[in-house]
Amino acid sequence: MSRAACKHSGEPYGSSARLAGMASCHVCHLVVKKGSVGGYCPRCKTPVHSRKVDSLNRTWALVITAIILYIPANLYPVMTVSKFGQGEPSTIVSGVMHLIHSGMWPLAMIVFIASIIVPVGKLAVLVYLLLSVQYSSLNHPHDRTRLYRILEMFGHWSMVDVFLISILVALVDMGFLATIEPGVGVLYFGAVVIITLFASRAFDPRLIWDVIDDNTG
Amino acid sequence: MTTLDETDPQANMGFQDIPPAPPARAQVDGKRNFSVIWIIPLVALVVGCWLVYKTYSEKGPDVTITFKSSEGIIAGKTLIKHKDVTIGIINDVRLDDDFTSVILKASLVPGVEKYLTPSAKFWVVRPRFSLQGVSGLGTLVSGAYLELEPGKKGGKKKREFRGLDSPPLVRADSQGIRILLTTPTLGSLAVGSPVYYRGIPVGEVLGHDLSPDKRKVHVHAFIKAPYHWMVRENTHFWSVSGIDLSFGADGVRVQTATLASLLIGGVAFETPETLEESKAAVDESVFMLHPDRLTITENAYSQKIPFILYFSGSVRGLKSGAPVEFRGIKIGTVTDIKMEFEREKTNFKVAVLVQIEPERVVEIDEKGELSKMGSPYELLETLVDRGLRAQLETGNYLTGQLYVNLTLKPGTPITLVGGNKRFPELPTVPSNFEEISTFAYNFLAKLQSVPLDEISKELVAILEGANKTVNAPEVLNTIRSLDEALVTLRGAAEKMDGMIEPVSEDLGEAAKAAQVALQRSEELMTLMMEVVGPDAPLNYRVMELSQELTSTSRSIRSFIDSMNRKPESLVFGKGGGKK
Repeated sequence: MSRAACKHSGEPYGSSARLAGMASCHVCHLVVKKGSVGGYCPRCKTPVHSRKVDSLNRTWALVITAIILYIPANLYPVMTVSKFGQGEPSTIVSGVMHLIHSGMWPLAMIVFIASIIVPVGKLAVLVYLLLSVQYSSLNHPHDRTRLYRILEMFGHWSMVDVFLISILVALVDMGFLATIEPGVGVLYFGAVVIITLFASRAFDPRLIWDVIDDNTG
Repeated sequence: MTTLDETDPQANMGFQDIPPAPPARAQVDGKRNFSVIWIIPLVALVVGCWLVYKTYSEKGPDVTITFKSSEGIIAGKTLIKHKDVTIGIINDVRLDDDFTSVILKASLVPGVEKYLTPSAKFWVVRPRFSLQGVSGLGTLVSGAYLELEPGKKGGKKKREFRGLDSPPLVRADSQGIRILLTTPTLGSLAVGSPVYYRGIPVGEVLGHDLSPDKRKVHVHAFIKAPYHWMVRENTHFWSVSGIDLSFGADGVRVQTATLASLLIGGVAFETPETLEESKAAVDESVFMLHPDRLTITENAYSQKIPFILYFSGSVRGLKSGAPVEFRGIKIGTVTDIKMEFEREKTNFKVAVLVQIEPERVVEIDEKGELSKMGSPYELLETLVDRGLRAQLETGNYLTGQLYVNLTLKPGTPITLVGGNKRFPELPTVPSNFEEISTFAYNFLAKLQSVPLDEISKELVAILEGANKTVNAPEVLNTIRSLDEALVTLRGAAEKMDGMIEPVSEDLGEAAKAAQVALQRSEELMTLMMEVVGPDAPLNYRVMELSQELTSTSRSIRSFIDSMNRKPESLVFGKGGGKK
């Protein structure tokens, strides 16, 4: 379903390619009739699918993986800031708390949003979308599609923390005076971000409308 | 599942002309139900479980440590170390319910559990400056940390500890023995005071506390190996705190141990040579701590017999600890002095408790050999019968300190007060000074009974009469005349003095000459009498002559008179025409 069609609210919107038995090649975007050529694009020989293959399964698997990995990402320290040889490893939450205590509210907000709100929000939205599709929900298809778009948009910014730590580790290396070392948590956090990206990529938003199509059609 | 639902309507609904490929695909989809993608969350789950397992398996024991103060301790930062190896971290610092102490919660690394037994100790390492030295300077920069001294392995498990205020002086792994010294007062001993053996520091005072009955101080000390072999069961310990200043016949003697012990005290010990070698002291042996080396010999006498003495006079200058002497040799000590008052008789008396050490006196038999002493009570009883009496004597005239002197005064009455049931009593006699003062008092009392008033009145009357007699004018005159007479006499005597000497020489001759002269003058006198006697013619003539002379002189006078008046008459004669 094209984005333009999505924006039309509630109005009947003609037939979908899937209902027409048509599919677009993933690579060369050649519109082919499904099954006509044994599931392969006649032009570039790429397997052709009407929808993303095994979308719900894959998304679910990745979402669950991300949720599992998000636990150690929060429990393990993401970095250790050492000043004059003394330092304590800080986790994401303790880092945010530390920033708040230091009076750096804006920075604390950025870290909080980038490290906690965004990943958790993304996972929550994905779970909601998955559940809604799985239970063939007919409610708010537009809103759900919009949610998915927002999800994709924020996806680009998910790695802010990881980048921040990488930069800090590279910059703040002044020996005894001050050193920042990455912690194990940052690995898990990076994994969460990447897996979430894959999960949102694995999700096919057209499934939201397929249910409506099937019900109305 | 859902994909199947999707594909089926896809195949059935709408475009029937499409060749029947979908069923095959649907099967493929069905197989994908167990898609490899699910390996990813499985792996994640396995990793997560492994992490959880690892965390829990690596988690060491959690302990709770109570401290009086949490100075320098920061939750989540302060480490627990042993031999400078980090073995734990403080997670939580908070006050206990009644705000009297601080409770620290700490987690330790695995492997420490078996050392967390009741003998394990925790203390805070901070910079410490003491007379023994400076320690923990490193913590000035790094911050305080907790030190764990592992307990003995195999003990009961313990998770709650009470932190020490100061580091233990003896580490669990140090070799040696702990001893307990009992002393009436602590003196200048402090934690860390050295223990010397022949001047070598061989140990330290670990601490002190009161004995259970609160009457003595228990000083805990540690003797390091290999010196702990020097501590035997008969070893004597004495305090070497401060300066030992003694005045003797050979001058002033000042003795001090090291400078450190001057400030923080110290303990020295010595094992006397004995014929049989005494057994080595075991851990936690109890010894007596003597105030100085001299008292060791004093305290060597174990047998002490208490006696009570009652003194009626003043005991000013008698102190607890004063010696009890017999013929100048100390045989005991005064241990207590109390005043007793009898309300009925309004009588005060001073009870003095003494301890006689009979072992100080050696009994010998007729052959001059040492013999076993009989019962000291019996002996003293016989001695009392023979006149043994206690008496207060001045030991030091400068300070007026008294001591109890036992003397033999046969014949004095045995005066016993008998007020005390617990201790046998020794009879006392007043001190020499007291005797003198009693005599003086009696004398004065007698003197007071003499009627001095009457005597003085009589005396006054006598004196008045005498005064009258003496001051009478006759007496005065007499005295004056007497005075003059005496003066005259003195003058005469003085003159006589001057004359007597030359005269006396010629007195003999003079006397003879005088005799001759007297004879001659007698003759002369007779002649003279003949010549000038009243009947002698010379006498008559002389009378006449004198008459003549008288008239002549009258004439001459008148002539001179007229001459005086009219000197010209000598020339012009008496007639006086010119007049």
